[in-house]
Amino acid sequence: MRFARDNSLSIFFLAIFLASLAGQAIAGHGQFNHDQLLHHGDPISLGRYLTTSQFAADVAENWQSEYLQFTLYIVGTVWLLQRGSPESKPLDQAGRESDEDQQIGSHAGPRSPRWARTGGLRTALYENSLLIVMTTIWLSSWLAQSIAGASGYNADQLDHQAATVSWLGYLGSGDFWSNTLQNWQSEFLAVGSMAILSVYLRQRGSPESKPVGAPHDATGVEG
Amino acid sequence: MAAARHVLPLAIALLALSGCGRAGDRATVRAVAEGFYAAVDDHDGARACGWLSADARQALERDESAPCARAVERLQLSGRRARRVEVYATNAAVALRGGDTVYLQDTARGWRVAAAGCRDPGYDRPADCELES
Repeated sequence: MRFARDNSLSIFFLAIFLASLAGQAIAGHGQFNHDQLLHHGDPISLGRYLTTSQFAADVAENWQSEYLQFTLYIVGTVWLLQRGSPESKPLDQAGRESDEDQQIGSHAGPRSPRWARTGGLRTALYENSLLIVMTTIWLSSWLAQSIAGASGYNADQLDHQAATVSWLGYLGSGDFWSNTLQNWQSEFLAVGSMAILSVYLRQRGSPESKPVGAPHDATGVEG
Repeated sequence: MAAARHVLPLAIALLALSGCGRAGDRATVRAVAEGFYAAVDDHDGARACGWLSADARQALERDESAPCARAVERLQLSGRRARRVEVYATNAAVALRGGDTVYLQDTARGWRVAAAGCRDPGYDRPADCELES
């Protein structure tokens, strides 16, 4: 029970991720078969739909935009500031900060992660590990989106007796960039909204909000 | 969390590889396209019609005002052996050596010819086809 309580945030989001992925699969399967019938094709099973490029592209295009959002958010909040927002660092702390503030090397404590103490390449990697991993996941899922998207695009081309495109050709297509940018714009809007709305609005008990009674110009303060 | 480190890259790889087509589809599609053209070439209308999708068959009979077995032999088709095979999900295309492109669909009865005798497909323009559903 303690494990569940101490990890309830991760468990909750993992559960609703799996539930919504399952829901997407079911709804997408229905839509795919509807489209098949409209194009005088035959419906396919759910199992087969899960192996289609359409399902893969639909999943990957959302994953890549979410991880891009976090990648930009992680690196952006190092240097960019928003007066009054709990999402921002205090106004006098822009930048990578000192080793002492970051508890690195000789400033590391007895319970600090080992690579925070060791110095050299290991510390350099570890102090950027969050950005490295998020960027890797973003680029990997964007690559997956492009490959699956090209396959789905070409399936539609063949359905209309038109010529197919190479993967490189697909990277320059309106289909690829429309799907990419429609996700990006919503992610950037969400993060930007959070940064500015949290200046003036409050949610009691959430670390994403300032304390209810904190002034609007209090920056980098969590509830 | 250790499991997540391994699951996520695997999931992304699987996503990328999906839609590449099921094993055996390329061989099946090639066989259907070549089988259809061989049947027409051999004047075996009944066998040729067996390779057509239901919609292609209906379109042929409607356009030619004749039963499929007779109508299919009137098609002006060119080519016999496959030069290139493409399979994407439930759609496929087989370009024949020195000749036409054939378009196929994966139906409840298996892969079937949806359009044949097709020439000059463009990215923004469908091919001109002797037969299409």
